[in-house]
Amino acid sequence: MITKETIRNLAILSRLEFTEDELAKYTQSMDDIFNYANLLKNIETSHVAPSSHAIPIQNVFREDFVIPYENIDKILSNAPEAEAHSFVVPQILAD
Amino acid sequence: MTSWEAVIGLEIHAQLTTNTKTFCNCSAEFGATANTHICPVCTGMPGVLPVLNKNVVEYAIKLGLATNCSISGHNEFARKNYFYPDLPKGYQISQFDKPICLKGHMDVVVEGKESKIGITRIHMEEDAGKLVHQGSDNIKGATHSFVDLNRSSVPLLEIVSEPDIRNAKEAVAYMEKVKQILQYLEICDGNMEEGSMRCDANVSIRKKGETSLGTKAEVKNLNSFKSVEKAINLEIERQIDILEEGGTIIQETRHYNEATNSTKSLRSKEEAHDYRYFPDPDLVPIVISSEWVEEVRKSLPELPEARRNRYMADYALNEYDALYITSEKSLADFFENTLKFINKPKDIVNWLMSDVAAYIKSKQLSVNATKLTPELLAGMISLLSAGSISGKIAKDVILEIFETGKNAQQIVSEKGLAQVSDEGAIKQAIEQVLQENHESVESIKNGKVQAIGFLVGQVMKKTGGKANPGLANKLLKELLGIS
Repeated sequence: MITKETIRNLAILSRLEFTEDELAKYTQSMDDIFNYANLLKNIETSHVAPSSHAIPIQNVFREDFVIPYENIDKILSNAPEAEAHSFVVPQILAD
Repeated sequence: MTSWEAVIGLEIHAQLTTNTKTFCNCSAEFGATANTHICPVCTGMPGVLPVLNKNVVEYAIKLGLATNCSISGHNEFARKNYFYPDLPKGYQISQFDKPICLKGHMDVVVEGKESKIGITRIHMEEDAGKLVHQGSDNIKGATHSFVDLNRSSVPLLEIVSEPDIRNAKEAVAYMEKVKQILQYLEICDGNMEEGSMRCDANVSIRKKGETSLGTKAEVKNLNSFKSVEKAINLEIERQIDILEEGGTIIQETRHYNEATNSTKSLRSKEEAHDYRYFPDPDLVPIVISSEWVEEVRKSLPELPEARRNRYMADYALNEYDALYITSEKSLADFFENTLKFINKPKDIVNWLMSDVAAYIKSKQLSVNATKLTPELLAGMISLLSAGSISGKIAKDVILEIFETGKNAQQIVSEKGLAQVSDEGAIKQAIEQVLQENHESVESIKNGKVQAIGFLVGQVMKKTGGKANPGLANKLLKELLGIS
C-alpha cells in the first residue's frame, strides 16, 4: 500500500513539488503500479536462486584503453545553459 | 578530560590511476580542460549502456590482498540514488551489500606502539563531477555553478575502516599507511592536493572502559593529513564539551573548513539520506574465481614491509633508515637504482636522508621529479669516496646537479672543485693561516689542543673547501710539532 507520505517523501528526494491534488493522483497511480507488479508474487519461485539480473550472464568487461568521444559539443549543446565549456546550473544553496 | 575515549572510523576514497573511466572509454586523466573527457555514458544520456573497466576489478583485488581482506566471489553493482548537480544520472553506481573486499586489517605504528586497524570493506564506485562555484569561493554565496564532468565516472575504491582508531595521530598513521600501499601497488597516486585521496571521519566518544558506542558525527572535507588530525581533535573536543555540559550528541554530518579550522553542521531537511539502493540492471554480476585472485596475487609488487626487511637483511641498514627509505615507493626505487651504479648502500641512504631529502622538501617534489638521477648520485658518491672531492664540496656539487643535471665529474672540472691532496699547496695555506692566527697557535702550544679544529677550518676556508681535510689536519700537527 503506497501512502501519501511515501509520495511526499519521494517528491522531496526527487526535488519535485506537488499540489495536494497531484499528490492524491500520484499516490493512486503509484499504488496501481505496485499492485500490478505484485502479480509477479504469484509465480512459484522457490526452486529459483535469487538473482539481480534477468539473464544468466556475468563478467562483461571493457579493456582499459582510451577512445575519445568526438561529439562533445553536441552534448554541451543539450544543456539548457553552457558557458566556458561547462554546464551551468542555478544556485545550489539558497541562503 | 582523560576519562573520555574517542572511537574513530575512516572512510577513504582513493581515485584509481586507470587510463579510462569506470564504465566508458573516456580518459580518466586529471587536470584536462573542463568537459573534454566526456561522452554520452558519463554524462548520463538516456539509453546508454555502461561497461565495466576490467582494471578497476584487478586494482580492487590488489588492494584487498594487500590489506588482508577476503575477496568476494560474487559481486554486484547498485544504484545509489540522490540528486545533486554533479551527478548527471541522478544516481551513483556503487556497491552496496556485495562489496568486492571484506574483513581485512592493517597494522599501524604510532610512537612505537603498534595497533591493528580493521577494514570493514572496500568497494568499487564511480566518482561524481566537479562543481566550480561562481560569484563566490564557496557554495554559499555562489550565484550559479559550472559543472565539469571530466571526473564523472572516474573509478574510486572506498576503503571503510572499523571504528578501531582511538586518536587523531593514529588516524593519520592509518591514512599514511593506506597511501603508502596504494602507491606501492601503483593503483592510486595518493595526491591529496589533487583530490586523488579523500577522507571522511566518523567520530564518537565514550567513557573509558565502556564497550558500547556513542552517537557519532561524520566529519567531511578532510583534504590533507593535517586536516585529518586537526578536524578529529576538534570534533573530539566539541563532543566532550557537549557531554560534560549535560547535552547530547546529534548524529549529523559536519563540514570541516581548513582556513578557519572549524566544523559546521550540514544538517537540513534535504540531508535526510534515503539512497534507495537497488541492483543496477545495466550491469551484470562480476564473478571472481580463486584462479583469478591467485593470478593477481602473483602480480603483486613487493610491499613496504617486505622491502624494509630485505634492506635490513641484504644491505645491513638499521630499522630507522630502512623505514625511511621504504616510506615512499619512489624513494625506495631510487635507492635500488642507485645501487646498480655503486654498491655503497649506507652512503646512498645517508645522502637520500640528508641533502636530497632537504632539497625535495624545499621544492615540494618527489625524488624522481628532479634532475638528480640514480646514476648522477652514484657518480657524486664515487668521486667523494675516491677522495677526489671533500665532503663539503660534495654538498655544493649535489646542489649543482639538482640545478643543472650535469654529472659530478663535469661540475668538478668546470668549477675547479677537485680536492687538493698536494702537500705543497696545503702547506702553503697552513703557513699563511699560522701567521694570521697567533693567538690560536699560542693556546695550542699551551696545551689547548682542541683549538686545532679552528685552524683546520681556516685552512679549508683558504683553499675554498678543496683541501683534503685529513691531510690538512696531519700537516698542521706536524708543523705545530704535536702528534
